[in-house]
Amino acid sequence: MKRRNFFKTGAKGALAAGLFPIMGDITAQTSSSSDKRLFNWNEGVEGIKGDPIRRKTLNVDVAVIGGGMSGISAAVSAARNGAKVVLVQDRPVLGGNASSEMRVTVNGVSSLQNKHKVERETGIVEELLIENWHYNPQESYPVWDHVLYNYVIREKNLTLLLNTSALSVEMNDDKIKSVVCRQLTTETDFTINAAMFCDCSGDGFMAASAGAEFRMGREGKAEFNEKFAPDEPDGWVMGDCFMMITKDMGKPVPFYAPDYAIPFDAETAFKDKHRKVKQVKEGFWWVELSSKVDIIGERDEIRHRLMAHFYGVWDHIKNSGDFPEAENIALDWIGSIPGRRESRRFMGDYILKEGDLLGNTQFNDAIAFGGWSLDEHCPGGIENLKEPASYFHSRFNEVYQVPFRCLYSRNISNLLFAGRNVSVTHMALSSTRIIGTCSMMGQAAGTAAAMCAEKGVNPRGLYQKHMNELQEQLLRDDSYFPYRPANDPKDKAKKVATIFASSTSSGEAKLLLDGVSRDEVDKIHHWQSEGLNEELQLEWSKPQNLTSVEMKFDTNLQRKMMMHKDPEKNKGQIIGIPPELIKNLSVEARIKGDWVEVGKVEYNKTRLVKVNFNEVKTTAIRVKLKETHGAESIKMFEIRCY
Amino acid sequence: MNFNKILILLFFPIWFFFQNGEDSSFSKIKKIEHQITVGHPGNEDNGLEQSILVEVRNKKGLAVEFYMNVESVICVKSVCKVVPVRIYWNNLGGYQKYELDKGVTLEKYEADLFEKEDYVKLQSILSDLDSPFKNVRIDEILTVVDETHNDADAVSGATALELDEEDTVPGAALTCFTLWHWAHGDIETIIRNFAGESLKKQNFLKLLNSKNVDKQLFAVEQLDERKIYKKILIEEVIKQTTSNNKLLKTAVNYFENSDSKIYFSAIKKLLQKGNESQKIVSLNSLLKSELVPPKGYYNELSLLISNLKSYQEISLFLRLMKSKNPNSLEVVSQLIPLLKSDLLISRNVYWFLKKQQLNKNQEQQLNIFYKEYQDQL
Ligand SMILES: Cc1cc2nc3c(=O)[nH]c(=O)nc-3n(C[C@H](O)[C@H](O)[C@H](O)COP(=O)(O)OP(=O)(O)OC[C@H]3O[C@@H](n4cnc5c(N)ncnc54)[C@H](O)[C@@H]3O)c2cc1C
Repeated sequence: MKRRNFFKTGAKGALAAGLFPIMGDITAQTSSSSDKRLFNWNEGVEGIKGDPIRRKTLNVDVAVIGGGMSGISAAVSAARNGAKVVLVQDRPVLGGNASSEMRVTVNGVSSLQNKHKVERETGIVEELLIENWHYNPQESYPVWDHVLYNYVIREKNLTLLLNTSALSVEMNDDKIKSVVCRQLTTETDFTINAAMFCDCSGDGFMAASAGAEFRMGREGKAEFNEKFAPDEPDGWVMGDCFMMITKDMGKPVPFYAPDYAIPFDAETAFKDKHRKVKQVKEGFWWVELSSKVDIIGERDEIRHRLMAHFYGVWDHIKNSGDFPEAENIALDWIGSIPGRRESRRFMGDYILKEGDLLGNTQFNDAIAFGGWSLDEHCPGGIENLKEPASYFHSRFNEVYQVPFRCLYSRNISNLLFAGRNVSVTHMALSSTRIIGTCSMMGQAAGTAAAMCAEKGVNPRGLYQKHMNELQEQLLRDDSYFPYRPANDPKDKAKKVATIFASSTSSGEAKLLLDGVSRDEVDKIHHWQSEGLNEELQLEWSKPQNLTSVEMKFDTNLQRKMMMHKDPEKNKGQIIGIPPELIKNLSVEARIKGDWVEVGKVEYNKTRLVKVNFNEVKTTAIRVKLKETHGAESIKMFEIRCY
Repeated sequence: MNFNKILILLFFPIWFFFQNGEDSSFSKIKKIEHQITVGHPGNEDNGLEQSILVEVRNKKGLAVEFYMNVESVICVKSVCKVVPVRIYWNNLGGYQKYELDKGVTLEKYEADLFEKEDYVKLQSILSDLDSPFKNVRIDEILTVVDETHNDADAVSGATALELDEEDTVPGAALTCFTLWHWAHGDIETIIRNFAGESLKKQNFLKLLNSKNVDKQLFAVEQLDERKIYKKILIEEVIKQTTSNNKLLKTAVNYFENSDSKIYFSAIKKLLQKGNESQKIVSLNSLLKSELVPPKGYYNELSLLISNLKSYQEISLFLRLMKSKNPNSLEVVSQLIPLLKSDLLISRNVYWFLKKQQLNKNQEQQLNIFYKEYQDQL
């Protein structure tokens, strides 16, 4: 059903048409009544008196709980891979820690100790970041929320429930049968029956309610032989934290601290080189608070104390006289719900540990990569000034692999997870929690969930029997994990008799078939033309039946691309669609000796370009690569034909 | 750039030996001062700076060397001491060396002085065309390097400069960065163009014959820049290009900028004598060219079909004929034998021929081909 039709028909028609309109359902439209009468509680109208909760049942293939960056990635990937999906998010906006409610920077792998330094994640997270610059060069966080919203709701097969919390589960032995979610804005309980459940909610209330094994706290050194771990295990997790954004008023402005502000012990704090006020634009990550008992149970108390500390620090900055640069600066925005770094970590068939990251353990089930440093924040945060704000234990020489077995529950058979709540040790989480990494995991979990639903297997079965297929699908969808080139038997480009380009300034056309869709350190995998209006041609000896050509183009993965609260931090970035990226192209097939255009793309915004068309029988494909978003030549990494 | 005048000024004792030549006589060593405008990535928005580039011409009036005085550190908020440095280039715009005034020293972070080996290392950094400084940004250098590349605080450390010890003078990254970008970049083109102005026919021939690709490229580029199309020079360019793919792009560009007579004849020669890449580039050039060829040109080209070996060459040739010379009897008769070539080629030829006017015999051959390969078409 077309979107407009949906609005015309209204919720009733859409829901009646089979619960799920094909186009992303509009979540709040849950009333199925066309009754226009005045409600009068005296009359005892059903639904007004007694139990006011509305009840609905949804049947889907995959239910994703939590609409942070990992949940978005999971839901969209599952939907794109053919599953009927519902995404349940308890806040009015998507994005989790990255949303306008918290404004955490969408970081990815950087500061590697190799020539690349930055190794940007590809797949869903990269699509989102590019799209953000297209719609939101003004770097507005509320607009970013809606960029995410647009990205999610345009996905067919995906229904989004905002303002909806997962409350309880119904089990069938070791399987989740359904999850009940309450949408507060509509006073409606949704019972969601699904084949697969993905908990991407960070805290993992659904998974915990299902009885999934989890840990919270720090492992001791001995358990996983982690040299940076504390000697003895304890309950500390990394802390919650508020962000802020300020504005320059152009003249001195006073600041009056609220009554509950806790005075800041600047002298002790500044002894640590990390606790510094290097800018007055966007908050301080070291103003954080954690717990060694139950960070979830204490969250609201932590929120209050954190606000008190935050204002104490700001009071110091504004009123101590030590920060003249803050004289004209006023607070413009401060978060009200703390961003969360760590709580439950659910246990999978594998627990990724410090040594795997540092030693780059090679897994036969790699599904994502990471490479942020082991950035373990101090237990206690701002209330523990004796320890450094973070232990930057170690950086990485190369990106490491994350295995699939970290993404599904050891004891609940149809439960997957992605994001900061996956099966890693506390020490490994100090690196894997970075949003780019979380999002790649989300893409893997969503893709896996869709495959499980389709094949009727559980995630462990998928690992045992279909791991290669999962990896191939992820690589096809522009994920990447090191040392695992794609080799999809369905890809007909692999069988070409010849591939050549109209010109070559670097690399080689045949590198587009080598299964690696980015340049690796000292290993190129690209072809680059001399100029624009170039052509790439593939030719088979025998005719092929084709329905799509899929290509991966350059977006410069060694340049950062995220939005910042402090525009100063955009230096070296490009605010806009990467100029290297292809803008316009067309695909032609040679049919009976004539070149026939079978598809084209205009104003392309994605690295992965899939051009689908009605089946053609052909012996040659020609791609006309017309122009980029600014670069003077065309660079690409892969071409596939299906 | 138009301000050429004789330089009377002398900066360094090392120039002493030139002093006798400091008059304006053309038979002596001469220095010409060029006022130039050049960008530096260390300036805000790659901002341009005015500067004076000195060209040194030998007794024959040929540019042999260039130099320019620059500041050792480019920076808004100066972190370290700024001293003048003189940078030297050869006449191809290639960096040669740097010199300091007597008694002048370079400084590192926190007022440490350069050690002897630091000067040596600086020279090797500046000589390296692919030095990491090529892609480093000034803000990465100005960010104090510390460990923090924490999440919320990502930038200070995440983009802070990370270089291998061998690639930089520790503590003097800003100096390395500043000087590297003075030594390389737009200045190279500026120098080449000045140097090109002093070249005569014989000089061009010598450069083209030098067997040194850099010199050859310089010659072709300057011929193009100055629109010189003397027969003997064109022939030399073709000769050299057919034996070196590295000249191809610049040479074809040079021909494309000439008139149609020169262009078509040069391209034909490349097709006659060139290797596969040279033929591909030539055919692509013809395909895109809007110049009008001499009569019968494409028919003559078809005589070169036997020179074309690879599938890509043949398919380009067929495209060319389709768009510029359809229904030519010569072309058709040259192509018929290719029906016996390997499948990729013969198939393409088959489709081409199918759209041409053929005689009975040719039709027959086409039918034979079709019968044999119909399930591979
Ligand atoms: C202050 C701070 C600074 C950080 N800095 C960075 C940084 O600079 N760069 C970086 O990459 N990472 C940073 N991190 C880490 C990063 O933000 C997290 O690890 C990452 O966001 C986790 O992603 P996620 O999708 O797993 O969870 P989240 O982003 O937390 O998303 C989970 C979503 O699920 C929702 N949810 C929770 N429970 C339920 C429920 N029961 N039902 C429905 N929905 C539910 C939540 O509201 C939330 O929207 C920082 C973290 C903090 C706290």
